[in-house]
Amino acid sequence: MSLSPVVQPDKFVHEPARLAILTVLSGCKSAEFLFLQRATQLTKGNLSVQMSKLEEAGFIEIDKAFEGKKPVTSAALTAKGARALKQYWEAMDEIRRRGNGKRS
Amino acid sequence: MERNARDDLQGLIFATLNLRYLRGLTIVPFGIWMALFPLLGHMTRWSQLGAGAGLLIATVLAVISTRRLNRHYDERYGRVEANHRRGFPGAGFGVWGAVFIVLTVQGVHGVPAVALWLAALFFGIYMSSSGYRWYYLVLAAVFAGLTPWWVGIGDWQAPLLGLAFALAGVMDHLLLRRLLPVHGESEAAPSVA
Repeated sequence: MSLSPVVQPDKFVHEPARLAILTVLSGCKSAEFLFLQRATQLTKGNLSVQMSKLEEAGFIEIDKAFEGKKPVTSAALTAKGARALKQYWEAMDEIRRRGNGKRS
Repeated sequence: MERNARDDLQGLIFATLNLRYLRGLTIVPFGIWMALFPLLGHMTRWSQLGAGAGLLIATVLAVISTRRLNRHYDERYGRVEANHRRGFPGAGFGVWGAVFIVLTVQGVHGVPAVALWLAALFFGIYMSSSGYRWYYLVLAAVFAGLTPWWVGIGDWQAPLLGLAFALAGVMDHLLLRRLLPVHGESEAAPSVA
């Protein structure tokens, strides 16, 4: 009897706040910081920290611009981020599929 | 727990994809404008103000209100740049709008009843396809039910449509509030440690 390798979802993506940010950004070209804050229900500080981590990992791009005198921060998913999110959901689906297989 | 998390993420994706269309209050001034249309037409009867001037003022007020509401949404929810052009809700409104233009020009007898029913069905199913906007199905059913009497209701056509638009707008706004609740800044946010 051979055991199939254990499927490991990316723990970095699995973190709820980062997963929410990536999910939102996967549905659009870019989103403003305020929208991300409303969508994820995170505080400004928490959201900033998570966005910085995602940017460091190369999963998102952050753009800081001015509209008149008002600073506007927006973020967009990179190809690497999109790939990581896709792989994450594939891993989760695989785990669920194996779980269902064992139960039946 | 997993189901809730998945539901939340689906709601997030829906809100992100449809944010522009969930800013429902922006359509309310237009709905009220339509609802008041017959009143504006009769304005000359009871006012020195001509119908044209009344219509112009109402239009300007509707445009200003819509712009302010748009700004309110920008400041409260931020903006999202869509990554693709979606047919929604253009296709739904397009079909429904075309039917009502034909109805207005030709009258209900010039349009086969089955076409009206199919248009209502298409509109309702299309707009509520995600499951979140079920109320469009109800509105479409109401209008489909009304079609045999559409000519008979005369001056009530525009107000009914206007009220339907306004109602749909309010429902869209409530849906947006449910999907993206706005808490006070001081309220504790979920930990992400």
